[in-house]
Amino acid sequence: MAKELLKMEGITKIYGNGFMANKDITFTVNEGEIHALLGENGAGKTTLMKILFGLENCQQGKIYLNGQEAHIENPLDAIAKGVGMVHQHFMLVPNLSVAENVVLGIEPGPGQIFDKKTAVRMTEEASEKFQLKVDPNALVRDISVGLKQKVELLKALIRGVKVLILDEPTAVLTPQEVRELFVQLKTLRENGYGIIFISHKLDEVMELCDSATILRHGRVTGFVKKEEMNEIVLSKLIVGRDVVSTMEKKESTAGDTVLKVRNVTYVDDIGKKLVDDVSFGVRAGEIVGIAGVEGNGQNEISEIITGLLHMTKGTVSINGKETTGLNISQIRKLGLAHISEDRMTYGCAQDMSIYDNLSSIYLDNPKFTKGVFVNQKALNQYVKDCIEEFEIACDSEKSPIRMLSGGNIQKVIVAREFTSGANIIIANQPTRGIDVGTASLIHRLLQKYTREKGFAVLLISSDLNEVMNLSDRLLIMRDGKIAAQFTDMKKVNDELMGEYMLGIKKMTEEERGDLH
Amino acid sequence: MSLEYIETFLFTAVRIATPIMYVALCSTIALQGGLTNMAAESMMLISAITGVIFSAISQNLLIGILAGMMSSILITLFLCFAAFVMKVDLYLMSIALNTAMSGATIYIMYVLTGNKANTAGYFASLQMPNIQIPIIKDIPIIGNILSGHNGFTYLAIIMIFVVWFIIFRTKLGLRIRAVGQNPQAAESVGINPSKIYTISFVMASAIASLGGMFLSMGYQNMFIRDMTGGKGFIGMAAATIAGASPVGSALLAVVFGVADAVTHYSKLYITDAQFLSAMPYIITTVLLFILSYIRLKNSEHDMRKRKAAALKAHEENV
Amino acid sequence: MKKVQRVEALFELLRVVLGLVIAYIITLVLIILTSDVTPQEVITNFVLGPFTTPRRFGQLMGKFIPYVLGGCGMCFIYGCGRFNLVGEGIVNFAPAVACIVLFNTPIFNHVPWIVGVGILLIICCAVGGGLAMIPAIGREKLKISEMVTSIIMNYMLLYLSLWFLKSLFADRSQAFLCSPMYPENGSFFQLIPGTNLHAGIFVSIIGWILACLMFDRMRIGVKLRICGSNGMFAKYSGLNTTKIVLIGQLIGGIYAGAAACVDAFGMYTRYQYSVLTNIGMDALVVAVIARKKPIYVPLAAFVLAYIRTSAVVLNLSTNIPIEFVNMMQAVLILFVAAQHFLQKSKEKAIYKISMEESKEKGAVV
Repeated sequence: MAKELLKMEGITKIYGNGFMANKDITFTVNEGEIHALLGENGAGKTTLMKILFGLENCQQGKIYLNGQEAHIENPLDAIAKGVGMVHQHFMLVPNLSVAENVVLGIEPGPGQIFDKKTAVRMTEEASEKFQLKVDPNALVRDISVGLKQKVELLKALIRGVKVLILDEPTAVLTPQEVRELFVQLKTLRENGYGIIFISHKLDEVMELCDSATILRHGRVTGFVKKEEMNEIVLSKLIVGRDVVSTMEKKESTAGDTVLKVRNVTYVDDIGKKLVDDVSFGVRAGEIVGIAGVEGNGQNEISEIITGLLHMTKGTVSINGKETTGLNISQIRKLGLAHISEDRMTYGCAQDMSIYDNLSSIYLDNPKFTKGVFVNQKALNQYVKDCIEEFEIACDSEKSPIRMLSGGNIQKVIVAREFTSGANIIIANQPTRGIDVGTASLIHRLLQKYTREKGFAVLLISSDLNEVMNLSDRLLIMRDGKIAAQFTDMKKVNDELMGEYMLGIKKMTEEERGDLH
Repeated sequence: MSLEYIETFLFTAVRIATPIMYVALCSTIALQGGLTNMAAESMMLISAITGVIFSAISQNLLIGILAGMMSSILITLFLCFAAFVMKVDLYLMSIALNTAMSGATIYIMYVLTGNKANTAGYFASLQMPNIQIPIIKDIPIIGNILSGHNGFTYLAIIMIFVVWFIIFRTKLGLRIRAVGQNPQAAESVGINPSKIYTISFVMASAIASLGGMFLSMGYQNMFIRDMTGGKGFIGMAAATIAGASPVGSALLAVVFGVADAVTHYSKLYITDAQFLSAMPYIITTVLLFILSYIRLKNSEHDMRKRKAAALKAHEENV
Repeated sequence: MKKVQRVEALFELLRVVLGLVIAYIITLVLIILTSDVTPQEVITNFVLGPFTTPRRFGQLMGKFIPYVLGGCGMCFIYGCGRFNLVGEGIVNFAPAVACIVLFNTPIFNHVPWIVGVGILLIICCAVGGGLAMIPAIGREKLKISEMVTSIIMNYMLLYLSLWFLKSLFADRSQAFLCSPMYPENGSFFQLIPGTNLHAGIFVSIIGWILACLMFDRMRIGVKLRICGSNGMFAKYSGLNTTKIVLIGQLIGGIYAGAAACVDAFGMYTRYQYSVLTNIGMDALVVAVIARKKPIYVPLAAFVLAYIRTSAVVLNLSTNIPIEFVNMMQAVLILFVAAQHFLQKSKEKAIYKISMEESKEKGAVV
């Protein structure tokens, strides 16, 4: 029996707003083991790792390192006790050299003098020892992403950690770099390190990991050994639904294709193709859902359509007009509304009133303006109507929006976007993190507006219940491409979706059918 | 124009450059830590008067200088407390502090001497002596330009090296640069950014204080109200233009010194003295715009190149 | 929830008032301790001084008039999150340009007062707006710190206006560097003869009303506030953030120009600035005290003008230098702008209220 390096026992974490992120989680990592931590976004993986790394504290539970109970106060403490973490977004200083980044915080040298030569030597030695080849003198801003990750690994290893947390390490790498990383991780495993590997990619997990713990809704839903691991088992544990709820749905009577996405490709700043030649359309009067594991290009699609992001290739047209070269305001005028996934960053201005937040998109709209002035009367009436129709619970429309609950803030945003005069709505995670009541209200509204007013809705969600219940047509995105389309929602179940989302199955173009 | 004339001109330029050099170095440290030091004027003013008072009382130059330095550090600690503990906007507080120190120094002077313009005749304050440098002083021309300056001037040249050494050769310097570029990365390895900001500001204030004391205890031997006259901001601009490089900032300070000396000397011949006084500031603004434009274009170019290279590498892999 | 809102507003007010009181007390104590002036003298002069004679009150109003305009302008600049301080230089430079028109062209020979003053105002505003755009464009297009540019520009503008004065319209018969007397149609007359309360106050009132309208009722004001509050949200809402932030700074510059106009042609009979006036920096202080809301600017401007006039009065009767009030400003800013000042008490109060509210609700259910 291998030695137990780390044990987290009975971890429970409740956030300030009452959200239970972790519930009684027990999790162990042995010496010389690569242990996968799997789960959808919001399943509690990140919170659990934050607790382990000292970034969050937990209400209940204990952490044992090498069999000894450990209290981890902060990241420095975690590192000192032998836990290192490689963040998804690298924590590197661009204008410093590789060696300087590696030794930052534990600089060698007598007294206050920084001994650069020793730093370079330390880096070289470590890079030799752990088979992570880097040039210690290169500036970090000039090296590739793959090398940056090696620097991050070195940073942790040189501090003598025995447990390494890797948060989606392959998300930013090219296939070649991924293969290289795996060789390195296997070397570390042979040397007795314990590695926690967080990933959405099942093929990677099956190739690399010795065991896997799966979380869903803050609870452990399974523990699988390498021998028992297969895609079907894992995907069932990851995406299985807890509560199956269904909604009454009227038949869709789809009209013309009003939103057309054609051959859209997006390459980000570091040269990774996040959206790969995607084409689809949304017809008036239908809800098209996009499901997929987070980070497979759904967000980029929504930002490209709404104009927040500029595509590398391809075209988007709204109500028959191409959006190339238009700014956000002009795109909105073509008839597009947008419920952003990041409510507090994009959706509202926290310190401003409900009134101001509702009026933000109408400041150039003749209906609500009188020359250089805002038309107070029209706007007052509009705000009143919104509060009534969308059941926004507030004392006064003049109170700052930050005083509302998350659900009510979302209602304000939904109210503004639904009534903006647009006929196409991009709803990105419209019910994430809000109460059940508001969620079902938003669902009802989405239905109502598509059926009665002929809206076209593109619904992007990681909540499978939501997309399955609401969509008339369901697309699944994987690796920046559309992996599947389901037109008959009765034939869809979560297992099937999971298989496509996680890349176990793939549809051919004929199977996918007409994407409009 | 005689040779002697040119010699005195360049001598003046070096003298004028001295306080600007101190401020430029002080701003360099702050900029390396990612913050603009707007409070250099306060740091200079308070140390200028404190140095005068304490050197007069103790009749010891070193005590005077140390006291001046301490006063500058004290108000900087106050600034850091306001900005990093009480969370007042750093720049707002710096501006308020500048106004406050302009008033405070006048008030202190008034309380102690009854005079509001300068301390001449009230304080027998000490002055840093001028120093003749052996060997160099005997070299023709160069000797006349570089030798015989005030001690503070030579100290400033030493400071260029000291600042360079601190930033690029010490552990602290490494941490300052790390915090300046990516505070989160520094935090993730246990470095506290607020602490680093405070340390870098305290060091900056010590250097700025020397510039302040050059004015009241080197070039002059008295404190005159508002005697810094915007030099703190010129130094700040020099550091910004030089991209926070210690040597570059110091060289730019000399350029400004020459520009200022030109102004001084031309005043004798040209009646538009005020226009000439505006020249250093016009030059600074124009330089700021031109260099920022070049820097922006370069970084855009690099970005495009890197993206193209990454895309190519990616496609080759696939 | 309404209660929470009220508590928030109360604490905002408390912070400003407490900040003022603390700064005031510290200054008073400091004066009494360090000078040989008796506490009684301090109180009669410093505390009550500005209200003792019409002349002194007029002096207060003379400072108040440009503060209102400058403060409104800074609300727009600071409100969209920029630190453009060129207002300081505008105060010197804009009237100098206006003086060139006033003294070196025949325009003012036969125009009535209202037209003359109108021309001065338009020139000053245009110059102010134009100058404010230099640091603004540097920031939005080239990413140069608008703070650095504007401060350097202030010194540049000071010397350039002195150059204009000396070479173009100086009155050689005077012992000090100044322009000739302003003609009647080129200055704001005194409303109460012998005091500094001049007709510029009408400009301030109109300017203030306009600022309030713009900030709360006009499209540009709402857009500006959205940009200042959350730039990403502004972008998402389809607003052109760069353009709006530029316009905000343009408005700020125009207001600084107006402040310059009323100060130069109202307080004085000749153009005679020889140093920076500090009105630009004081305008920032006014905007901070007014919490970036134009509606509160007159109140804040009055407070600052009162403090400054008090200092002048105290100086006249006891010789204590006027500049000591500058120290007071730092303390004031520290408390008024500190996010952490009173934060804990506020959180406690809000926590208590929400606990009580939930209890009440619990009782009902």
